[in-house]
Amino acid sequence: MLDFTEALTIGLPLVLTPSVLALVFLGSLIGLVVGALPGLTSAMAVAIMIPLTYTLTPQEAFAILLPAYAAGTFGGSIGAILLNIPGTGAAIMTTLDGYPMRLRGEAGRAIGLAAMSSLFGGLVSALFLVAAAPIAARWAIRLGAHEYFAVALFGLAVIAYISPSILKGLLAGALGLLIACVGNDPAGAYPRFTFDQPAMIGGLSFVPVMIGLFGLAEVFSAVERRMTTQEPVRQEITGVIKSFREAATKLTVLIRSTFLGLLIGVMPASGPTIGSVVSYGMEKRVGRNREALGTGAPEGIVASEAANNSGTGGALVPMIALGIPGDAVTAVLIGALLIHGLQPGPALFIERPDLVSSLFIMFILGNILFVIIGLTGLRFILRLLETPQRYLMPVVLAFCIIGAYAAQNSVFDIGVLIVFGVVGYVMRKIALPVAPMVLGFILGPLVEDNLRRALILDDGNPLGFLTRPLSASLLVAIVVLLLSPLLTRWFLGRKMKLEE
Amino acid sequence: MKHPFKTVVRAAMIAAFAGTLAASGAQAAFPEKPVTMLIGFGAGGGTDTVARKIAIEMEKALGQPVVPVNKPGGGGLVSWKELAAAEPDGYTIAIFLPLNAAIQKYLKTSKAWVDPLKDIRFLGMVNADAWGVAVNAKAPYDDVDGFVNWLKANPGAKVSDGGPATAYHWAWEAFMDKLGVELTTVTYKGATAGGLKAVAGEEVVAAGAGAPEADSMSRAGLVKMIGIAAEERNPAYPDVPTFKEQGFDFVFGPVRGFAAPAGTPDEVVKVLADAIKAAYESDSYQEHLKKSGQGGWYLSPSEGDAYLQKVDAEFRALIEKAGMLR
Repeated sequence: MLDFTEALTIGLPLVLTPSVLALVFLGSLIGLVVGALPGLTSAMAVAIMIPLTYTLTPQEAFAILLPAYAAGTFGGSIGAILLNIPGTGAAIMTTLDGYPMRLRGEAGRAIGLAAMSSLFGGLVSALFLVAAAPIAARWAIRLGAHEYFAVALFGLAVIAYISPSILKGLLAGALGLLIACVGNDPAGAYPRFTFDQPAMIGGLSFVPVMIGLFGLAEVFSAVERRMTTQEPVRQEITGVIKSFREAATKLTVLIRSTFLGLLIGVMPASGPTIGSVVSYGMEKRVGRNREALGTGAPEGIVASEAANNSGTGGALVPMIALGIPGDAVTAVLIGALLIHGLQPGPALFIERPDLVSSLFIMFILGNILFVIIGLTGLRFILRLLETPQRYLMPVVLAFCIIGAYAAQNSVFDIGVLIVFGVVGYVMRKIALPVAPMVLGFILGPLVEDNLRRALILDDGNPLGFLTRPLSASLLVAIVVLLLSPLLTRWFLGRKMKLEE
Repeated sequence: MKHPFKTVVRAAMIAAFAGTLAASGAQAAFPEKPVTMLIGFGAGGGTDTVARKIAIEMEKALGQPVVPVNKPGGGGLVSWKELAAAEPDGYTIAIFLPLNAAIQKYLKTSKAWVDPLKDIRFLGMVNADAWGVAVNAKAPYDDVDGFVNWLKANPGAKVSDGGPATAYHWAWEAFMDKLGVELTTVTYKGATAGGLKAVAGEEVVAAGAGAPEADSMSRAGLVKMIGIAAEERNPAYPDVPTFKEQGFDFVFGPVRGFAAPAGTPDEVVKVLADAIKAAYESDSYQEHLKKSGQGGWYLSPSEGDAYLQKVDAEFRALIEKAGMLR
């Protein structure tokens, strides 16, 4: 296997060619733009570029794809901050503080924070990937259904904390779980809520649901406002560099979120989105500034963005080391490797160490480049905000529809988009938060599949969750998390009684 | 302004002329416009790649564009519903996975299903992948015989599959049936990678997987293949033995072919079938098979019909035996 310096050097000859470097730049740029556009996710950024890579060498192909992954994940925060529409699923939590900040005219500060946190998270995860891919992958392989169930449940518990009203948050979360049930059940293939539509057998696709709830609903609301009432806020763009330093002062938050994002990213089939959710939830519980979270607090952006970008490096660990996708994008990347006749996994380290090393280097380069490109282009991006809504919204609408269709080339998904656009609009009307619903939708299948899997594995005995140390400690953490407000109140109440 | 009557007469004459042309030349001239190829899976997957490679080569044989259109959903069912409802003129065809269709027919994964024996006309097979068994590299057995003996000593052992709507689930059911063992299948939705990971992590004892799917993890010493259910070894993975050569007559695996709506005229079927055969034999498709490790398997329409009959009976029996016939 590769040692650390070898892993960072033997691929250099493959990377330091004009064509590869140019492609790294191109990949970062495309990833950033596609990721930032509402409705076009980083998974899509990678997927649409794969056909373009058929004729390239493997290292050239990945020179576009890996930086696009890193940049796309950061790019998602731009849509989240500027439009309140997460550009990718991983940026859902960034909307919670990024958008309020933008409403105060601090878009520059918010993007600066996001860029710095993403850079930190991305680079740390890249170095971790280089140093520990083989070892970490072997650790992650021991994690089973019980642990996945506990992690997903932890994510659901977070719902209680990300909404101003717990009741409304839980209601929206339950709605999300309900739509997650659509499709044939995993163990018996019985149709559930499919209304005899063959297209719904596999459940609703994530992309059109998310774009509908966030994107199309925003367009509907804008139409209702007659595109005028919301004056574009003059955005402050001078504070970007300052906010770099500001992010650095939140070192504890940065490190905590990066670590969490990495940890969850490494677990196969979880990825940056769930990492960012858990990290935000953690911040909301233990952060020093937890009260302000959700109202435009810098910690919220740092927690979400550091975690989702560290999740990218994390998700690449099982992909490169084991050939197991960490999330949707890495699943697509595995397909790309296969097209070039390469089977990702441990054998690749032995057979093509130079190629593996070049992948590491390109991923690191991509992480640095997206910050440079993002900040250079910031003035241009912010100009978008001053575009009157009557010009902006038709473009957003077009991207929403293209995004919903392009994920699977499915016309049915455009219908799904419209339905969830209406749902999202109605939810705004009755002040029901959308983010918990999306979380319920994402986490529902994870909870269900792994619960059923674990129970089948243990022949129906539910005690298995408590006898495995990792799942047991996570479950205890959930109970503490949920009971802590009650406990705090109880303690305070006693204290007050004593003082009386 | 033109005289309305004149216009009508002219239109009628044109129509009559076109009609004569169509009547006299339709069969010889097929295809005279682009052919739509429905793909019931998302862009970028294994089925999509096979379909698009064949589409490119079919174009050369037909002299008309073959336009791939993704209609993902329901394990292919969305596209086959659309195929069955299409005009049976040969201008709509679809990539067809007989095993999926048979499962949908008997398991009723949806109220609406397509009968492979009645609703379509088979045009030719282009690919067959072999199902196989991967076990943990540290397992005390290396071959099918050892595995079966171990299973007999440990009834109810857990193995991974993709859920009852997938062919890989029924591969295990057929395996149990044929080799007389008792297993519990655990669903790992999505790619085979999840099931293989569970084998490497010792959550389950075996995963159903093709040789290409298990290759990397097996070379890394995490899992080992004890056999594939194919007639012959996969030339790309010559070290993986077949069940057959180990004395177990068991052949199972997902296959891919093409279909047109029922009622498509024989002459049109012949033109399409010839184009598919030419595409199958093309260098570029053969090169793709070699590169991806997917198996090549050609069947003509009549051979394909016999195969569909066989699959239909086999899956009906399997699903009935499992008590899931709906």
